[in-house]
Amino acid sequence: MSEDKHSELDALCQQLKVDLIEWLSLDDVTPEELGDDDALFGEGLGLDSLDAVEIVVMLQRQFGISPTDMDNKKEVFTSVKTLAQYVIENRK
Amino acid sequence: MENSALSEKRGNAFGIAFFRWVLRWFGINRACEFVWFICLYYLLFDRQAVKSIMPYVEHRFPHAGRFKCQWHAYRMFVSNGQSMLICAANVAGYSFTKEFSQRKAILDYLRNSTSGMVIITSHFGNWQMAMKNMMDDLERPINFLMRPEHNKHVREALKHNPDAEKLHVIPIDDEFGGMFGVIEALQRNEVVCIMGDRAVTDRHVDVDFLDATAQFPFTAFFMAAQMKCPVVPVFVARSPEKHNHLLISFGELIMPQKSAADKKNRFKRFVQQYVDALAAKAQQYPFQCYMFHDPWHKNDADNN
Repeated sequence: MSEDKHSELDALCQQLKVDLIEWLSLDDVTPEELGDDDALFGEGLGLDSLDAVEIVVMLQRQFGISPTDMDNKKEVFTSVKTLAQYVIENRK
Repeated sequence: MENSALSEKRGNAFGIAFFRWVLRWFGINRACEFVWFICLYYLLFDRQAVKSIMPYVEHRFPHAGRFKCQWHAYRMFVSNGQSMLICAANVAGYSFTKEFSQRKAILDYLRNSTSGMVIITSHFGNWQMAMKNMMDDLERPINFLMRPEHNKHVREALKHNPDAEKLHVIPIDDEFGGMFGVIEALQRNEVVCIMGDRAVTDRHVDVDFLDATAQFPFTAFFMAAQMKCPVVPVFVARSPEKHNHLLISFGELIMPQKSAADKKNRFKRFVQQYVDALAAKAQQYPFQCYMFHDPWHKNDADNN
């Protein structure tokens, strides 16, 4: 990965952390505490399927992308980094 | 879940085949009378079934004594059996007369709107036939969010419907609980049908139902708020006088919006609106509210 793409990914990860915390009202988490590779669901941040819906709506409004018709939802929604990678590849 | 197993036991393939046989030889009214004898078995020998319906009976009939409650439980079994029989009759091609209330408002909304719609149903009356009748009347594809075990029964109930291709099932057992399927359907401006009376996860709120605090899920309202579309409760009751007459009522359009309250409670007032409609139906048709679980038990959903 080139340095430009690397820094784009880092910046997007930071933005997504702030957005996720705000959209999902995660009052007890700060962007600094949330690692790029931390699991969003289950044992990690503990999000559930309704949170996934809020993330979908957020991605549509912020980046104009619809992850609803993708085949690998589970992989995309694994962590902040996988979400950021998906956004970079698909945003309009 | 304990109650799923019970309802499966009452609705298994053998039971449906047996009812079909009775229906064929005795006709619908006689077959419905025959259910009174069959249900004696459940009252006398299936204590778990009796136990599962008792919370509803005790809340619906708070002044009933012990024996009266047993009688009401028996009537619940009979009504549930008759409801299954009517589904079998429906599959076998029997015709039913229908009476609608508030349908025009819903159809007008769908004609004049480009948004999807969430229909919230309950284990009330002939809810499976609500699906069939909605397919007949609504001019949009209908998607049912359901468990895989319900899927096969509903498909069976709908298999002779010429519009069956308008039916899509969204299975609830994928990693995101079917939520992506719901989003996709609502984005296509289709109708999504969600059962609203059984909390199986922690996505529920405490509301007032039959004068006590009970837990009901808020998923339907959450999805509608996210996708900016309305929620409509639908109930299908059997006429107490005629077994082959269905009373299909649509509730008021509910437009859920996110409020500043915490995530769980932001949809509480909308859930309460639906639960009030369900309670009104339970008052009107007390033996058609098939609540074979205990929504008043605080830890019921959390234990699943």
